[in-house]
Amino acid sequence: MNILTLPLRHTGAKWARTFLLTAVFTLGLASMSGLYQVSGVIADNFEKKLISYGANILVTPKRETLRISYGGYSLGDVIMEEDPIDLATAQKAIDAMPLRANIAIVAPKMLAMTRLSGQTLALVGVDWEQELQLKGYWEAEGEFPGADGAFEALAGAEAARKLDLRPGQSLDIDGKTLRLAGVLKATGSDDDSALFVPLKLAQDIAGKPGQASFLEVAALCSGCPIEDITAQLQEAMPDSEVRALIQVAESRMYSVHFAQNLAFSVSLVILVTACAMLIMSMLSSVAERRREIGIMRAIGFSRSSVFAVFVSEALGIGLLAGTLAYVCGRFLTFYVLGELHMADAAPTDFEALPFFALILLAAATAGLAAAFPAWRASLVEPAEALVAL
Amino acid sequence: MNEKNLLQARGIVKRYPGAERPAVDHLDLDIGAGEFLSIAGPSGSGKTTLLHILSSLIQADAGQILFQGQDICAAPEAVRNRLRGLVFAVVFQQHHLLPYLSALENVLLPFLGGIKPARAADIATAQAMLSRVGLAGKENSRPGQMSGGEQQRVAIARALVRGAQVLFADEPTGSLDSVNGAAIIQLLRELNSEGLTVVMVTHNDEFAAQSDRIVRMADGAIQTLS
Ligand SMILES: Nc1ncnc2c1ncn2[C@@H]1O[C@H](COP(=O)(O)OP(=O)(O)O)[C@@H](O)[C@H]1O
Ligand SMILES: [Mg+2]
Repeated sequence: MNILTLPLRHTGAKWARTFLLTAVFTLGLASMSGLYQVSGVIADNFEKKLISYGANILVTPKRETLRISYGGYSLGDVIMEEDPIDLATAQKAIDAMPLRANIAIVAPKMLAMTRLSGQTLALVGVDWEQELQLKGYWEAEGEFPGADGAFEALAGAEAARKLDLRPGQSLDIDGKTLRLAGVLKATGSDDDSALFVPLKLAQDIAGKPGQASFLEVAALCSGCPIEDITAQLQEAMPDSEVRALIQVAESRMYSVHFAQNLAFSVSLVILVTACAMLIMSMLSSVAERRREIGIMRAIGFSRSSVFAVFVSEALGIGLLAGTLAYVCGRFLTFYVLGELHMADAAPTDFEALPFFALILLAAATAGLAAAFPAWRASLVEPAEALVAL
Repeated sequence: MNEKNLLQARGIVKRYPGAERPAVDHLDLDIGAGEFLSIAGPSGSGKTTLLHILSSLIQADAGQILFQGQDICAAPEAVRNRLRGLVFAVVFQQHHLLPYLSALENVLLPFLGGIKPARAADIATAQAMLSRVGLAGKENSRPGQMSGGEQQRVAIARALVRGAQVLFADEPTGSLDSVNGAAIIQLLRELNSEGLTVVMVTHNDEFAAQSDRIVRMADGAIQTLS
């Protein structure tokens, strides 16, 4: 038995009040943590989906055109030989960007021409892993090449039709034998007429090892506007031209953020309400227990002891509510995500950090809410409270 | 130090805010160690106020309270807390027990002011104190389950559990019937005979007559000494 016996016995005796306060507090914290987790999962998922909608930034070598005219007679524009992008240098530059974390995918492309079955064909050398992540919307007959897939190829729908290609057949390209892993279904884009091969092969054919014709970049614009990312990319690679493609991504992220902010505001309101209830209830409790406080003071309790009695009562309720709220919040998250058919994405393991963060938040808000009533209690004078009326 | 000056009041003045005249007006009083003193007088004459000043529950506006020769009015808050906790004990007309604590826990209350748990010895003392006031076996009763007389005994046990030297009792029999009241006075007499200094405010002349000395108050001052 020590000073904590007092709040313990009091909350036990006033169990209905304790139950109510704990319930309100738990509700506030549980909705807060639930909403927080749900919006986190949704935002995460959304970002993953967003990058699979394709690149939103294109990095190409600087194009220099020379206008040739003589005597007022235009001979047209001549495109000067462009320097391809050196991949090692580009990677280093991108890694050094302040917003590096927002760059989700860098998919290099090397374009080359080849002949196959007597027809001229555009070869697109790609890094399979990056490319397949980027083109999440691709569908293929057959299968997709494996992550390394050094001797595999993927044909666009139009190219396959023209050359009569079937998944699984062998292709002879520039003296190398490749297996055609799959044929893409029509996308309505340039992909339809291309034959995708390993990057290395296209580089060898073009005679440009370690280089790329251009880069397709998928950037997440959750933390900052896409303009900042393109500006930083441009700065990192001054010899290239950086262009943003999909501005719509930004507005999509905006709605995710709006939902997150809304969730946060709503749970903040609930929590503030719970705090207000705690303060009101503690204040009336202090008024009701003036004599009791007078006794404590009369038998030698210091002001800080009285303060501690009241604050620890609130802290206890806060800790209890925090623990319950963690459990309820998890169930809430699971339920809501289940309703959204995203139950797989719900966190399942016990995570210490969010748990203790919630407990800390609960204890801190309860303690702060109780501080004023407890301070009022500590001011009660022993005699004033004890005069027989 | 003679036995007359365990506690000395010198020129005590206390005026409540807004009051016309002081509740206690330039009052002098000496209380000896081991004495059983009764303070009598009509309602409103300032008895309670005087008791609160003597027991360090409130501050006087002017004057000195000397405990063993030391002025305790001027002492810092921490010293006054310790005096209230260890040296002085106060019992009121209403027992003021904490309703949600058992009798034993109520008696232990003075040991529960800190984070350090009450020691086994403290618990034993509290138990002995309960027995001393005639409540052995009632350790686990709640105040609501006890009679007024029993509740007042618990309050006395709680006041004395830390070995106080002086017990201040403000109409301790005021809310009891005469049988229970007489039993409380009897208990106070016994405790006094064991060495406790008792200062009791009472309306009841019969009870006052059982003390060593009676002082009568009127208009905040002591009227006659008998
Ligand atoms: N807390 C207080 N505030 C204002 N006046 C008070 C207070 N307590 C007592 N008084 C006044 O002081 C005077 C003395 O009161 P009190 O000491 O309680 O006398 P008694 O105990 O002899 O009845 C009375 O006039 C009373 O109204
Ligand atoms: Mg009185």
